[in-house]
Amino acid sequence: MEFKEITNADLINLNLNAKTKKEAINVIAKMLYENNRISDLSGFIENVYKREKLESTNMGGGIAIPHSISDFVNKASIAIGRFNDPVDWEDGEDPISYIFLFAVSPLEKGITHLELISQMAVILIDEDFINFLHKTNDKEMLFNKISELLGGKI
Amino acid sequence: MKIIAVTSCPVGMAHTYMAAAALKKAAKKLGYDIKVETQGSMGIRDRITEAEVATADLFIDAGDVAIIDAERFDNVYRYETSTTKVIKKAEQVIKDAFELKSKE
Repeated sequence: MEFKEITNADLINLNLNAKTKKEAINVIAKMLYENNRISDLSGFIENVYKREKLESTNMGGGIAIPHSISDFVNKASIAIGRFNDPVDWEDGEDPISYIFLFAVSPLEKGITHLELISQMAVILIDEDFINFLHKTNDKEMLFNKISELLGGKI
Repeated sequence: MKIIAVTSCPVGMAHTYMAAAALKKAAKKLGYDIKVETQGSMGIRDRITEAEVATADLFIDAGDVAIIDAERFDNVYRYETSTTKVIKKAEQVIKDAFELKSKE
């Protein structure tokens, strides 16, 4: 199992615009849909919101990690987006500049896809990675950096 | 001082593992031994042993959902928190937990 099976340059966009949380989640989920990673855009988004309603996935520091284990997922995936202008998330929270959207199918529970995604989540609390994230404008470089950080862990 | 902790979250995909990593990092920085058990979609990992419970000074319960076999930790001072709090401020969580315990 390699990271490139979970995401690739088509699932990363560092130049996005959205006015609301809803628009932001929509535009990221759309990348998954257009790349055939999910079978039903609105159904998947509904599942993401189900998790989001339990507690916001805004982690602070301008990063949110909406996610779902959903029947509408064809293949475990991570979509990554950066917004040109910070997007308001929930009241009282910092606005969001980055979204890492994680999608896993229930059939993939407990296997390496999930392992990769959980390791990706752990990278998001690494200060060196966050510094890199803020600096890079190149999605290939971002992909390579994450891949490198995940290397040897799986 | 030894800390044991359990992390779990509703989906068990991200927060469980991020909180575990954050706790380990913070404990190391503060000079505490820690064992973190994750209860996520990959099942129970790094299960805390009876011996570890017996020598623990503090139990951090970072379960957003009810943790499995919680009664194992009944004899250890319990500090309840959430994965989100731990991810955002793990060092503060550990400090607060020990401070509360010292007031017991």
